[in-house]
Amino acid sequence: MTVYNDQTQPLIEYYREKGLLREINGDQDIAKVLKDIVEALEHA
Amino acid sequence: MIELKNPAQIERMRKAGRVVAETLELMRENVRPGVTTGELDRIAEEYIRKCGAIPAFKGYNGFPSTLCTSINEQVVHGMPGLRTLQSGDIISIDCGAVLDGYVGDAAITLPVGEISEDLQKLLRVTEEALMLGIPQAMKGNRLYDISHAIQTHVEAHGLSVVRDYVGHGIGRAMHEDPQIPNYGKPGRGPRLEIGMVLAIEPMVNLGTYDVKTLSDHWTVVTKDGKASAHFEHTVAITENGPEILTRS
Repeated sequence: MTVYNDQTQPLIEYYREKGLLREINGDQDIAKVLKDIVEALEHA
Repeated sequence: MIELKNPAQIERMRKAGRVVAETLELMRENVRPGVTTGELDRIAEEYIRKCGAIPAFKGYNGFPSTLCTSINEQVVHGMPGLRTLQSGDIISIDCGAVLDGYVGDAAITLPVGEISEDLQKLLRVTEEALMLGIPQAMKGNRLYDISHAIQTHVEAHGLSVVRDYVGHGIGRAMHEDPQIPNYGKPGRGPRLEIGMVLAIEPMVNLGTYDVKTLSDHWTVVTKDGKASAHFEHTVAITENGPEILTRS
């Protein structure tokens, strides 16, 4: 089964190589996702 | 993040892949004028469960069936049902199975009865493109070396590569990183490493590459209504090069 070609993929590679990528697991409940985003930003 | 699989995990994926390959072989025997896509789906599900595996697509984001059955201008993600196959049709059958926690995923496009020369060429070139992409899946190459090999072959035959849907990494989850486009520049993209497992799946159109999704939210069709074909294998990158895990 194919996946939709999300055009952000090249950007993900670009920012990963620059060491600027922060990954958040979006497959958790909403409050946890928000908490992880806030924490990632605070440590940026 | 691209997750690498160790040899024990690849051995489990080999078993899941075998179930998928056998299911698709069963489909070759059952595709003929007069059969419904719903009947094919029933046969596939029964076989997968008999193997002790679970259909990977059923329930995935609400997808209702074991197979994706995509006829003629349908590109991918068609839903099995009451439609009866007719001589002259082509049908893409995409199948996934989970065995022992790991997923196998593969697709073939089959002729129904007698098909036109244009459609024969579409099927042949699409399968050839897949089989030319796979040898690029080796350590030291870059991901888009695979993409480029596929695109080059398809376009050399005056056909077009679908842009909006792509292949994917596979493992415990059916869809893992990376995304694998069927077009791209050689020498670009993530470096390929031993332990990567990739579902490589060119979708090739007789007309232009533009596609749209029908109101059922699943079925992807060509915008110009011309036919489309789709072949897929799950491929592991090993010490000895690419290994097709879904080969029958």
